[in-house]
Amino acid sequence: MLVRGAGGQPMGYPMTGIFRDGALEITSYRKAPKVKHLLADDRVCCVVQHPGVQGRGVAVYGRAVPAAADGFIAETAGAAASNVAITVPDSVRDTVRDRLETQKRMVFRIAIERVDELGGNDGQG
Amino acid sequence: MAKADITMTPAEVDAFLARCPQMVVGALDADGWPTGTLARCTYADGALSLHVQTGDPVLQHLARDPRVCCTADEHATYFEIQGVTVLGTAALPAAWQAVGDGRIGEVVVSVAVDRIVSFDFGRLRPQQGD
Repeated sequence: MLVRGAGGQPMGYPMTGIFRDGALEITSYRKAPKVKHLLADDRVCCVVQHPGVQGRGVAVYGRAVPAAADGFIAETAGAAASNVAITVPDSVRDTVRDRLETQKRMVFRIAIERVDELGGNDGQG
Repeated sequence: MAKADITMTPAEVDAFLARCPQMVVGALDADGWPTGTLARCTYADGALSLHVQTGDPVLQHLARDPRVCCTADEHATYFEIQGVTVLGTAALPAAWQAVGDGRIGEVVVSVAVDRIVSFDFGRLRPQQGD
């Protein structure tokens, strides 16, 4: 996830998130620098790499808005967690849920405005 | 409880970047919107180079505003997640717009490294006896 960081510098954060109801959702600690950056400037670009083809992917542009955590919690709980790109250990998932419920973490929902294909210029015409 | 330090050592960062085949390259477009692409990369002796496909808009963005952010991660399993973000200043070759001469090619962008942020989730792995 690319955001505008301190002084407007582009800043990138490797993230995992979920795609839910047509939007991307991510979570982070409220005190994390990325949260401060998103609250200061909601514009984001998420580069999602093709899982099987190096150099291919998409760039997803949108605005990150603080969102209720319950949808994220439900989507990432138990068997529903297949929507997450990596298998998260139960202990970690439980900690994230606790931190969300106790407001130490928060969820951002990224409403997608535009998607650009990356690496499609393969010389095939 | 003190927050765990999951920063990689300089040697680990060097090794990570040396084996890294590509990075997400972040820049700012003319409106200041963060934008990104994928680029093959090479790293040796502290020098990072990005091989950006000709025609990629990020080249125009970096020519106008050279502030760049390059990010890569590995994640075979949760406790093997590692990531490195390089913040720096991009330098394009003088005749970058002519590279490829209308055909597909790569513009080699040099990155002067200002700061590196890293993390290794392996340092969060529960130890036996915990």
